[in-house]
Amino acid sequence: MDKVMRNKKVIIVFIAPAMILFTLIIPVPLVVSMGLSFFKWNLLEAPQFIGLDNFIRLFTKDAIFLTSVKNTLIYILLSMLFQLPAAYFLAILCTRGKRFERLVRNVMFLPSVVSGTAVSLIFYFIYHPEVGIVNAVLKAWGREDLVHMWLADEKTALLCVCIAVAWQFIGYHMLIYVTGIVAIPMDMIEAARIDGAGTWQLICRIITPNMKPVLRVSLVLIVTSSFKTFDAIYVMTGGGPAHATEVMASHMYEKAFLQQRYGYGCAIGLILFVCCLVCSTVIQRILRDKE
Amino acid sequence: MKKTTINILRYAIFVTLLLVILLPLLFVLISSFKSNDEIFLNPWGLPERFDPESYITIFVTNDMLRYLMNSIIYATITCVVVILASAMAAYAITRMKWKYSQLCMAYFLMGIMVPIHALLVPLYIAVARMGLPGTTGLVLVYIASAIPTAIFILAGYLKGVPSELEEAAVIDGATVGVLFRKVILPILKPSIATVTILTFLGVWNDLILGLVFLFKDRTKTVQLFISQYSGANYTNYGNMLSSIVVAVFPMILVYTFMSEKLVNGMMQGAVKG
Repeated sequence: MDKVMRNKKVIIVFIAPAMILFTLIIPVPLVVSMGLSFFKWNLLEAPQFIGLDNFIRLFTKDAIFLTSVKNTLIYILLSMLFQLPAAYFLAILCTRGKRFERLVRNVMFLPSVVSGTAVSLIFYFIYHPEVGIVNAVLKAWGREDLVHMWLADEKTALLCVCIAVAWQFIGYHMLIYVTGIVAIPMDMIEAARIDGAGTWQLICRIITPNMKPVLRVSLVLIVTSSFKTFDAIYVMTGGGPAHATEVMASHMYEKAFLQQRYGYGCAIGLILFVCCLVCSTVIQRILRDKE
Repeated sequence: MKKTTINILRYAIFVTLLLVILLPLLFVLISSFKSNDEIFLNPWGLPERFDPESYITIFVTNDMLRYLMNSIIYATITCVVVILASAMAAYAITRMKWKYSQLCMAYFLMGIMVPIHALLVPLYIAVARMGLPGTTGLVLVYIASAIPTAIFILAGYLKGVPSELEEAAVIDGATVGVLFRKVILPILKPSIATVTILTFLGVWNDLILGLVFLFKDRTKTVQLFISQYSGANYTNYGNMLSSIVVAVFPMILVYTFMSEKLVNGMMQGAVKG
C-alpha cells in the first residue's frame, strides 16, 4: 500500500490535470492582470507602460469610478440590512423541523437556485412603470401620487435593485443560520430550559454565541458577493440612470469590454480583488473562534 | 393561551413569507399567457384566455431550444471534467504520501478568494490571441473556476472515510487506476453529487463570462439570451415573460424533486467554501 501511494509518477499523473487547468486559468491571469494594470492598451496599438497612472486616474479623475465605489458600499450595506436580520429571525422561527417549517424553508430557498439574470428580469417587470405590479397596486389602492418610474429614478433605483436581490437571497442566508442552530447540541438548549431560560434569553445567551462560525460564513459571503455584483445591475438598470446604480463590476465591464481600455479594466478588477480579500480577512479576524 | 397566540403569529408570518416568495413567480407565469395588449390593460387578474402564442414565438422564431441546449452542453462538459480532475487531485492530496500535498491544497484553496472579474481581461485577450473559439475558452474558464471548491469538498469527504477498502483492494493486486475507478469514485458518490449540483448551477446561472466570451449568436447561453430583453427599447412583454419562464422552469422542476439534496449541497458549498 505504502509503495503504491509513494509512487512519484502516479502522484504527478493524478494531480496534473487539475493543477494545469487551475494554474493557467486562475493564478497566471491574476499575475498578468497585475502587470497589465500598469499599461495602457486597446489591443490595436502596442501596449504602453504608464506606471501607476491607471490607479491615479481612477481615484482622482474618474468621477464615475468614485460613484461606483460609493454605490457598491451602499449596495453592501443595504443587502446586509435587508437580508441578515430577517434571515436570522426566520431561522430561529423555523428550526423545529415540523413539516410545515420544512415547506417554508424549501420555498424560501427556491429563489437561490434561480439565476440572477432571471430574477432581475422578473423584478424589472414588477417595477415596470406601465405594466408592473407595483404601480398597479398603488393605483388600485388610490395612491396615484406614489406611482413611480422605480428603476429610472436616481433616488429609488439602487434601493429597488437591493430589494430584488434580498428577495433572492434571504432564504439562502436563513438556511445558513438554520445549519448553525441545528448544530447546537440539544442538551445545551434543554439544560438552559430546565434552568428556566425564556425564549429571549435562549436566543441571546445560547444560540447567538454559538452562531459565530455561520455568521462568519454568511457575512463573508454577502460582502464578497456584493462587491462582485454584476448581473442584477446589468439587467435591471445597466448602471443608470446617470450612473446612479453603477457598481465596481459594471464599471469594470464598461471600461474594459465596451470601451476597450484593457489596462484600466484590469486596475478596477484588481481593486475589487483587494477589497474582497481585505473584507473577508477582517470579518474572519473579528469573528474568529477563541481557541 | 399565550402559546396559541404565538403559534398563530408564527403561521401568519410563514404564510406571508410563502406569498412574498411565490407571488412574483406566479405573476410572471400568469402574465406570460396574456397578449401584449392584455398585459397593459389587465395587469393583474387571470388572462381572458390562456394564449400560448408567445411560447410558440420564442421557440419557433427565436430558437430558444438552441440556447437551452448550449447551456446544457456547457454545463455537462464542465461537470464531467471538474469531477474527474478534482477527484483525482483530491485523491492524490488526501491519500498519497508526498511532501507538498498540504501546500498543494492551500494553493487550490486560494483560488476560491479570487473574483473572476480580476481575471477577465487577461483571459479574454488570451482566448482572442490564441484564436480559440469563444465556447472552448468559456468552458475552460468554467472548469478552472469550479475546481477549487470541488477539490475542497471531495478532499474533505475522502478524509473522513477509512482507507480499509483501498488497502484490501491493493492486497488483491489492484493497480492505482483500478483502485481509483472501482473504489474511490464509488466512495465519493455523495460528495460528487454535491459538486455536480454546485458546478451545474454555477454554469447554468452565469452571465458575465458568457457576455465576455460569446459573440456568435448561435453559441449563446440561456442567460445571455434572456438578458437581451432588458432595456427600455424592448416592448414585447409576452416574449420576455415566456422566455423567463422557460429559462427558470428547468431549475424549479429539478428543485421540487430534489430540494433537500440541492439545499444540502449548496449549504455544504457555502459553509465549507
